[in-house]
Amino acid sequence: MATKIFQLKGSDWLKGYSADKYFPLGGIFRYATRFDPFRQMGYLAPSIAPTQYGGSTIDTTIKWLTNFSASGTGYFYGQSDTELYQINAITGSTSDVTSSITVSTKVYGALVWRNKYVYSIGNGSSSQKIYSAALPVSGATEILSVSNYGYENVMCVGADGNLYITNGKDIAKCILESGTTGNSGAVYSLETGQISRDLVNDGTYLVIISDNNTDKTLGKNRCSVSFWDMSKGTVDRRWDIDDSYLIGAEIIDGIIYIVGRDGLYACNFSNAPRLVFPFNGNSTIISSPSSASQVVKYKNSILFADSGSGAVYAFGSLLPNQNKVMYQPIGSLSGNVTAISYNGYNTWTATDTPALYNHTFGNTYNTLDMRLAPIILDQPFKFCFAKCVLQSKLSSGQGIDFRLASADGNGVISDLISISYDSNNARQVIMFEPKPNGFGNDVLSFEEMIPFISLYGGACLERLEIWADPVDPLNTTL
Amino acid sequence: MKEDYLYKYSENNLDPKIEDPLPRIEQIFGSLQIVTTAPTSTPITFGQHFVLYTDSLSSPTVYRLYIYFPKLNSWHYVALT
Repeated sequence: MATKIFQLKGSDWLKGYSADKYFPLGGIFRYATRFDPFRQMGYLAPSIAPTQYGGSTIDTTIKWLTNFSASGTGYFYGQSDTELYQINAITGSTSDVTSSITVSTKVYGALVWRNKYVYSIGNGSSSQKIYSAALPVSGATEILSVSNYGYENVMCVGADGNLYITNGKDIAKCILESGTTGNSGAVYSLETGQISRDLVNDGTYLVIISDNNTDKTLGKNRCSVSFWDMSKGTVDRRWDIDDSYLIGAEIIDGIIYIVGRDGLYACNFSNAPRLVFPFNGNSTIISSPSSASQVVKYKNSILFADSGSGAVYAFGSLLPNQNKVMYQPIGSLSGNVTAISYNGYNTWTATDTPALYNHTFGNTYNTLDMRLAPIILDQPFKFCFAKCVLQSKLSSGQGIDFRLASADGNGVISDLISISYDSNNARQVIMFEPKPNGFGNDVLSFEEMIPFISLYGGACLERLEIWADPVDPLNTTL
Repeated sequence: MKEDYLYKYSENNLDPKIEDPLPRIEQIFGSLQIVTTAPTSTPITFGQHFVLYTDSLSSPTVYRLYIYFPKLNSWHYVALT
């Protein structure tokens, strides 16, 4: 008699990516692409499909996205090596405003500080300068010339209200937004060999993220998190991390989350860094961003790009008292993600296509592909059927795929079945009967199982059930 | 054969549960002790290492900050304006 051996529903959909692809560790998914579990909580619901903006205007790769407001309207700037684009955050209307500022051949950072758009440009070898421009931009003024060329100038406003900037082994400081007086390229210097990668204000300290890996090669290097009071010549605390190199950091719930090449870490002044999620070995995520411009705070999550694909991952929760999980809200963009922006309402990404995408405005949905980490059972079973309960009846353009595998995905318990909207029989509850593939890798009884599901056109899965017959362990058929 | 075959995930999560157990100086409340006689006792708590001194609470003319030197077992002061 068929018995229910597996079920996912409700809060199960909030469990996020597993930290290991062969075992459900800290999450259940080997992958669940284009799925923000907090957009429509309690459902396996695909994220909103991206909408491209500025297609005819944006012809160079945006590397920094910076939000600002002017005359009651939200905007953001997208700056590439050679151009500056102004984008209306509500309508997506885009204009090229490069002629309103000074540009060079490379851009190294940008931030809004004291109602100015502050940005860093240079030629990579003999000149690198920080400029500021009124909002919206109309002419730019040099406020600092740095002498460590080619390094990103990631900016952060410290607890003292001044602007701090990564500058190779040094930390630069600007106290004046309209000129160079009092601004310095090196108010604090890291240990020789260290390179500052990102800065975070924890409310008291300027937290400096650094490493000693100039070429960003893979391997064990000394990566550091330093807590500097913006005054003394030494830091009050320095935690070291064994990683290839560090990329960016954000604070969530008073905890500093640091994205490294080999993992995501959490720490604060009182707690040494702990590995939260690995990005190597058997991990379900094995790549990471390439710049601090691809690491942003997103609601109660840290959002970071996968530099090797058009995907963006996130780690966090909707509310602070929920368990934080890893998820992938954005995926399959054309090109690699080069910058991310979240302004409290809308998420934007830039890619090296070059292109700019909004991920909030649309009313169409991505295709969601989900594979669970293997479910190791207590005994063998013979598959009877799977029952998928959707949030509502399938509508035009919607569909769901299901297949059930074993043996690390190579054994076929039940082959792929696709169910699409049928105007004569629109269904909310869909039963998937066993389907052999007939190519010799069919599995009659299984000891472990891996469900695969795809959702199309905005279909949302409410509950997945798998029913099977227990099989006498002595009569297992392989 | 058992009755309930429903698979249950092990309880584990990625949340590091980082707390902030060390008090910071910004989180210390209360004022320093004010005395009219120079301190001589050995302090125990951190706050007792610092004492404000004045010659009179009603019409003060002398202001000092006394600091205890643990290794020397002695108090020293700086005059304040």
